[in-house]
Amino acid sequence: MDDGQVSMDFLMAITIFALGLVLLISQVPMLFAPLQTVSTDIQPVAYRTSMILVEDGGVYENETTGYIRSDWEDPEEYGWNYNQNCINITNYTDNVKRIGLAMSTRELGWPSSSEDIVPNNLSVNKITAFQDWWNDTANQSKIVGKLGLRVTYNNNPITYSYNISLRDFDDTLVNSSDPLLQIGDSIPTSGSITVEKIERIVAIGNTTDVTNTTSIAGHECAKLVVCIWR
Amino acid sequence: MNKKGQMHTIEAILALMIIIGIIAFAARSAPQETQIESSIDTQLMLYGEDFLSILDMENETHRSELYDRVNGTFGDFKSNFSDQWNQTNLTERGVFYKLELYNGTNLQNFSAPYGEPPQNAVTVTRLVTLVNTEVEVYEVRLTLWYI
Repeated sequence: MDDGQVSMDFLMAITIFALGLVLLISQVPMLFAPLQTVSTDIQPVAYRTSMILVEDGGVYENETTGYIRSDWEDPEEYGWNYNQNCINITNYTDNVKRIGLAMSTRELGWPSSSEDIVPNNLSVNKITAFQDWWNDTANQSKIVGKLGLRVTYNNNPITYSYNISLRDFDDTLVNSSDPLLQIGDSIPTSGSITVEKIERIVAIGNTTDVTNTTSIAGHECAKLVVCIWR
Repeated sequence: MNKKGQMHTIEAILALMIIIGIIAFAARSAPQETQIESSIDTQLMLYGEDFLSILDMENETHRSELYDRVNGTFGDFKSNFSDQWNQTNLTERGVFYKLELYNGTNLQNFSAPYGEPPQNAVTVTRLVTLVNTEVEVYEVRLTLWYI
């Protein structure tokens, strides 16, 4: 059979109909939202994680007294490091409900301040405790929950992968020979995985012995780089 | 001349147009584009808010670099802001800014070393309250955009 298989009228009609249908569907907002969760929910999660780390000091709940405080890195005020806290405090890692890095005003020595923490001013003690926690392989898996990266969506548990580091503005790691903060999984570089990256400009307070930072307004500053993917 | 052959060609072209049209519309309504746009806006907003927050980080006497600069002349504020901003390497990475100071009634002055911002620029603000002989409230406006 040598004739065309489809008539001109039909082709014209189906063209107009198909374009009209697609145009109509694309005008309905949020029509595809239920199908977009994988690609669209990562950016808010990365944003939230950066907020938790930079603008919050964390939450520690004393299981005996029930008191809640933000200086989770040294809740007993003995100057203990992470490993000493694990040894000396029962259920220390479980008592830490949320990890935040903003400096507590107690650490700054401002008894008169009405604020509990200073946003964007990261505590080097909290950063060190965070890095030590990552190095503690027995409790490493708890970190994802403390950062709010294990959630339930439509009754399905979702765990996000993360990579968090402190870098100078030229992307060199802060304290490059012995990085001050470099934790998390390796960032996937191939495949179709969407990696969401958020950079926060932060000051690193109460320290004089870090390298690869930049002075801004008298503060030692760097970038907190948060990468999230699924 | 084979007229039936011409009909096949027209059919093929129209079919191709339909496919390309649908793909073009589908690509336009795909989520990636809006996600990238919103992601860029969020990152610009965070750069601006973080930078102003660090300039406004109080010392023990509740004074900050931003407070002192707003309390001084705008010329000093502009040049100091530029010096501090350049420390971040953000300009080299294509993030440009415009700085304005608003005192509640009119824009006192502005510094736009990289020209006027485009329509999709992001503006962040921070209030600074000066306590001198009388209380004055200033709004520091920082507009950021990518080139």
